[in-house]
Amino acid sequence: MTGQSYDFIIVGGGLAGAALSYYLSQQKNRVLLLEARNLCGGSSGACAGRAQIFECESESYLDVVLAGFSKLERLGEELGCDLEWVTPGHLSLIQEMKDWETCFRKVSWLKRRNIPADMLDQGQLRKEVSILQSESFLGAAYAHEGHVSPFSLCMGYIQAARRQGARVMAFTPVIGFQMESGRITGVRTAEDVYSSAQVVVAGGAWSRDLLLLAGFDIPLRFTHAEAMITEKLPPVLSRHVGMTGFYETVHGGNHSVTLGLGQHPNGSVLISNAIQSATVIDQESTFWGMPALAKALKGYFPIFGKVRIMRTWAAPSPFLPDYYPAIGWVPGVDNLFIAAGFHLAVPTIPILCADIAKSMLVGEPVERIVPFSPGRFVEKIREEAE
Amino acid sequence: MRIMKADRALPEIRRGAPVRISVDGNSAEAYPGETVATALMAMGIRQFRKTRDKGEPRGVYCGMGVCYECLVTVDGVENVRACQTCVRDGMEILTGQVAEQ
Amino acid sequence: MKKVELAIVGAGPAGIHAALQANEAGLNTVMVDSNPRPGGQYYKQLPLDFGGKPQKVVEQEGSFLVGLLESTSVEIFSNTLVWGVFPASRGEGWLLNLHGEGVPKQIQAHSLILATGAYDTPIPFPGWTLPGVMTAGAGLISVKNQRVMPGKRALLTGTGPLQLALASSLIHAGVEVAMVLEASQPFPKAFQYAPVMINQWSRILEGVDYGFTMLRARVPYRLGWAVIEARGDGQVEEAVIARMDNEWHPLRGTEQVVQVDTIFSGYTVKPNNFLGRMMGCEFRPDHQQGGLVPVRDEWMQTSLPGVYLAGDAAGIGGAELARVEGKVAAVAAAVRAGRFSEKDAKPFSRRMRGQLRRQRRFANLLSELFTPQLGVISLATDNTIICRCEEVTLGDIRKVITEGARTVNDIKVLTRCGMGNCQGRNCELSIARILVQELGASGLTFDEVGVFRVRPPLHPLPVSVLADSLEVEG
Repeated sequence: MTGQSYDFIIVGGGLAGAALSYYLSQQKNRVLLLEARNLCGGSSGACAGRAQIFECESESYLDVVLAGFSKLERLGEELGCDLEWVTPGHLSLIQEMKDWETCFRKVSWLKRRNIPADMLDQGQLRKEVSILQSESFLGAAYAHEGHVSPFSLCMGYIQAARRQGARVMAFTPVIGFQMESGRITGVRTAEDVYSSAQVVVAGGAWSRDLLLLAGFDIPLRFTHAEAMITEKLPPVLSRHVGMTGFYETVHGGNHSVTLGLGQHPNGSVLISNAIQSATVIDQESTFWGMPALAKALKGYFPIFGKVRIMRTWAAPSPFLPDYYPAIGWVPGVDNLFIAAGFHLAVPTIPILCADIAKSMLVGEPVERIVPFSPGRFVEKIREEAE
Repeated sequence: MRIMKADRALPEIRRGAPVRISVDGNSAEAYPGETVATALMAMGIRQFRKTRDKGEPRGVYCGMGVCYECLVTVDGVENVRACQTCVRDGMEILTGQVAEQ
Repeated sequence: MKKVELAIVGAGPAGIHAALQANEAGLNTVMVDSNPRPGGQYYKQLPLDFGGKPQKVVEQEGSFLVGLLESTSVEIFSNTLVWGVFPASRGEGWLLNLHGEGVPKQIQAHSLILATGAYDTPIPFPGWTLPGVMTAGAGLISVKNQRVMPGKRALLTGTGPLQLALASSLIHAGVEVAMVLEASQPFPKAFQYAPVMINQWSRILEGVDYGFTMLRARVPYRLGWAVIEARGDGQVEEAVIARMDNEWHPLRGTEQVVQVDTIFSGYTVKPNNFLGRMMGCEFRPDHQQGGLVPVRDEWMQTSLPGVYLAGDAAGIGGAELARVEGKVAAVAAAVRAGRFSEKDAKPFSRRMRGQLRRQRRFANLLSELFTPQLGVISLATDNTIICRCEEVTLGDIRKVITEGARTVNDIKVLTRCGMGNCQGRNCELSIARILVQELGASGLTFDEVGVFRVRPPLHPLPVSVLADSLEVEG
């Protein structure tokens, strides 16, 4: 074994891995982050940067999100970078009565929690979003929401981690694990083997393949999501806008468009999502995806017809069966921690990854992350039996 | 200025009947086969636009549609590459526009 | 949907010869080109409306070839952009999304030859964004094709023989050429390549002709000099020139000011490989060849089956090499389509191998002598714009490097370099050079800095074009 020895090895250089590298390298711990491709790739590099509140489903998760909100407001200063944090708010557009009722309940709930939220009728919606073809909408649900640049957040965490002594290696895939008596004794790359007291897999959609290398399986699935961005425009959209049923559609059908759009401070409008079920991870735009997204956009927002699309991209969007993340030690291994499938990643990662760091340092899961234990799914692969 | 002379290196050409175009509201003439960039250069106009953030002047750089510097507004459509667009009779060209605005 | 056996993208020397060869083999072929007429840059045809007859040898050759092409049964879609390419189902080849007037929105091609050519290497220096600073290519197009004077008094800076061609054309056009600056010092190195020049008579004669034109007009030609700054209020009014060392760093204390209204920047060309990259062909880094070269076999096939890359897009090699590569690719496509067996194609392949070797030797000579060195980026100062589209300066880029950016992509996501209209075509190589300049001492090499990821649409396109492309399904 020629590689060095660390206190923590993090596999995955997206938002989660980056945050972990920062929190784990505090207090002089020796941290190594291994990223297979470029930093801030995968869903982290493809996401819209939304700090969503409206999509919360439970009180406890809302607590996490709100804690994340407060943290994000100060995080730029803490990391010494500009996260481009703004709070445009979100409008969930409603077309059906049943969705109106669901939204109304949610808005009431948020209001009880003192979060700015409201229902808008069609007339109010038309005033708020003048570029929308609003005839087919009953109205919308408004909720407070934030936005960051995911790249600034990811690179900000990584640079702060480096300043704290963490070592970060991009373009360095992990190709295997060495195990002895229920412990990971080595993390293998093409060039080296690194040893560490603890290993955390934070590889987003790739986490399942990584766990399989260690002999474990979790039901981490992913969809294939496509997005695009326009040229810079004068201000046309002051809030993020999305169609209701965003997450249901994502994980429901085979391929569908759930339109969401938001305008950056620089003027460009990010449009998502054309979603397809997927079994292979790839980051390729598809023959169907871009035109479908463009068509949906033009249908509801006719002024975009002449607006030029500058770039399109695609990424896997990972999720677990109950849509909550898998966070915790992998049962059966002393020192392997999984942190993947983050739901509402942007506002929750700064909180949960700090919790993870604390848990790994103490050796016990912090209370907040206990519900996300991977014990609820992990099956050991019975290689010997097969 | 248009090149009118001809020699062995620049073989003779015959420009057809001119077409009428307007540039920033002013009437001008150009020749079929010329690009908008050519028509503007022939009029002595080299500054085609000002940049969005810093307001800096830009004009033709690559001449072949790769650099997107020569952007003008043609018949109401913004961000058109002048070097890739051939003049047409009645064409209305606006320069000095900020790109992507 | 329109289905063809072969689609050729690009109508320059490689594309034209591929098309002629494919036609001879009886392949059902379509050619897509973004210019109004076939010819690319090298064989750029005078506008039809200019009613002229070509006189010089290259122009006659071009006119003849284009005429020949237009007389074949190859269908030509001019003024048309290929903006996306996707694998067709069941391994039937490729779906190409097209944008152009009067052309189908999609076609399906069993094989694909990418012959997208090259464009002038953008080299940043203070003031290079001023109106009046143009590439050598833009100069040639203005004078020879569009017959308009790009300026009154010009200075040429850059490297390579193309500058002489431009200088000569400018002189003939009546533009005053103040001087021609060649950044490299090709002698005595060039003498060791004398044997390679023996087969290149036409080029030698061309060069002599240009030389005489410059001599007659008394235009100074300086070796080892370059423009280091363009100055003026709203447009070029003067140029600052200086001597360069062997790594292309300007030598302080040698500066001179020259009054000109136009500066032509002619630092050779770089491959236009975005389409191949967008499709996912495998490339490897190569600074000498303009950044990336595709992985290809002896038949010009890339890592994607049935996708061939020929001509300058695969590495700068000039028109003659492009001609041979185009033909080889077309024959490969014909073999793939079952027109000939590999055995039948062997004699052709043997003949072409010799020609390829000869032309590659000449291409290597030129790139050995005239490729911009990594050090050329030292012309840029903190205030120099590197990404013209997004107005990002060298200072902005240096800042994010101190904040941890290590790759071209890191710089892109943190500064917006490469996110503008040109989609990174004009800043990518500069950013790579900057990374090497700033971090080379700590071991970072050109091969490690990466490149932008190229995605559809190949050029910025209106939403309605993307939306409407879905009307034809499978």
